[in-house]
Amino acid sequence: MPIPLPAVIQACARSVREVLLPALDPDDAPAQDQGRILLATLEMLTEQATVLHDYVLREIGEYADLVATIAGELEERRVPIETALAEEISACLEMAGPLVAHQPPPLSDLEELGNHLKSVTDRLLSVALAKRSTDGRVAEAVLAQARQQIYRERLWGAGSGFDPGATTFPGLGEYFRNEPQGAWSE
Amino acid sequence: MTDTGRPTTARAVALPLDRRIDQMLVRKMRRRAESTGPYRSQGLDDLARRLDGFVRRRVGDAFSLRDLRPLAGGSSKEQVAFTLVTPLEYGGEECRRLVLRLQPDESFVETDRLREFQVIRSLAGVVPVPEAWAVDPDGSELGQPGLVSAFVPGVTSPPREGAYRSQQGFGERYRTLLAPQFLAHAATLAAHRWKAGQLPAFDPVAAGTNEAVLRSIHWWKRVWEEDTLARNPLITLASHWLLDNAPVVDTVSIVHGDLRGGNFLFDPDTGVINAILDWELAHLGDRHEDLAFLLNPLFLEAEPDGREYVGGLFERDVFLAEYERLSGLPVDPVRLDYYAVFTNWRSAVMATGTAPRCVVGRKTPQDIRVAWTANSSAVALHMLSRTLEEVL
Repeated sequence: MPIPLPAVIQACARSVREVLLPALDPDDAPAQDQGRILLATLEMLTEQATVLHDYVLREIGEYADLVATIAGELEERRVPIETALAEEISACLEMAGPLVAHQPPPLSDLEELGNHLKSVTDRLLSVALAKRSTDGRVAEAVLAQARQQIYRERLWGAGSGFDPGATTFPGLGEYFRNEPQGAWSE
Repeated sequence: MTDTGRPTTARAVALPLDRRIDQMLVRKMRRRAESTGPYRSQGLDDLARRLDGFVRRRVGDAFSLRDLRPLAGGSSKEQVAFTLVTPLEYGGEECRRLVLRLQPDESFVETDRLREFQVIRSLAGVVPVPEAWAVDPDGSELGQPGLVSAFVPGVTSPPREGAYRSQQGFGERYRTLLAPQFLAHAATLAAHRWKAGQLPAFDPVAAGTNEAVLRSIHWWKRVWEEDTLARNPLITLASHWLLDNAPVVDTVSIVHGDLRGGNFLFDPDTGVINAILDWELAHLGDRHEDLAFLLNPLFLEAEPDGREYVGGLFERDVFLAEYERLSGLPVDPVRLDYYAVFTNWRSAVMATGTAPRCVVGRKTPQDIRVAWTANSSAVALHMLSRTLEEVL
């Protein structure tokens, strides 16, 4: 994504704080009230956006522990559980187990790794281009990866109105659910 | 710079480019190194006091300033309108509405007020431009670099509702009125015999060489290196291709650098173009750069009957034939393709490199607008990828 999400939210908060709120009619109590709430919400979101991924994972881990504890307690006391519910619990724990055990790194670490990979790729590309030691395969690989990246970024900013093709795009959720890595081509 | 997505201090890159551009980028990096917090606009009271001194040094003591008011529009500079009132010799007073463009710490595009001032002045009477009134190139008088020009009435697009679009939505009525004028101005600009003496802030460029475009590539390559928060191999691939294939320019023209609908003002009643705006990217170079930018499919408008208008105004073939006839200069399809890559690459550098840097560092008074404009990054990269694939 072109700009880290927390920076975009921070820019929104700054706009509300420094431009919009001072321009509101001081006698318009509902506008003043909602303006202040909007600002406080954006300021909270600036921090929340950095840890959303970590928050959800932490929650999954805790609930997986809790459901296992309760299920164990019920089993020990020989309290029967409906089969359908038991199956649902097993399915959930099966999905949660690897995620929790694997302990994916915090989002900020993933972002840093992504940027580091871009950096080493770029430096390597510069070496290849400077030596002119390739026959176009490197350029084709760069363009192929760029097509995927650009498509994803176009979806990300589709609502902005800059992209004339945006009306035909799937939603971001649909893209991440349904389009596996490398699947898209124009 | 690091790759952690955080703004850091200076990293200078030594590449040959125009002296003023070099100095301007050095100043940008110095400000970045020295400034620790977010950029804050001058208050209107402080600005009024500085503006008073600025005007006094130019017109003497007999004047007053009225109606100082911030203006909206644009993603890079702060704009303030004001009225300069001066007494007339035989009684009464003259009121002139003027616009001050001020440069924040950093912006969507870093440009030089002196170059902008000189190029606008040099084109007075050639194409419609706002009168350039005065300049403070280094900010010693206004607190930050600034340019004062005449306020020109008009609109940039017909009234409309809804979200932002790259197209102006001229429609048939305004297309009929605006297209012949805009074409004539574009052709006049390309053929204009500029005088080096009027443009001392621009390093001379020789026809028959590719010096001009090489300097431009070095300019934007340096901007990318200094501003980007995350590397992008497509940008690197394109910059290598552009350097390897830089074409020779036959006639050195004043290139506007952002010539499109949205950057000229017209009277909504008569359809007369009152002024071509936004000369901050103007430089000496190849007319094909302005042509390629104008022909970018991003600015194309399609009618329900399927007819397509480049720049929202012209049928492509008619436009190019008329441009050749009016300017007396040929259109070279090879250079047009080259500059399509160049202009998309430059747009991608601004939207993908500079805009995020400004927003993360909180370096403009309109972070939200710059963040919004950064949404054009994906489509700029998309157009770059498409045009690059066509020439590789």
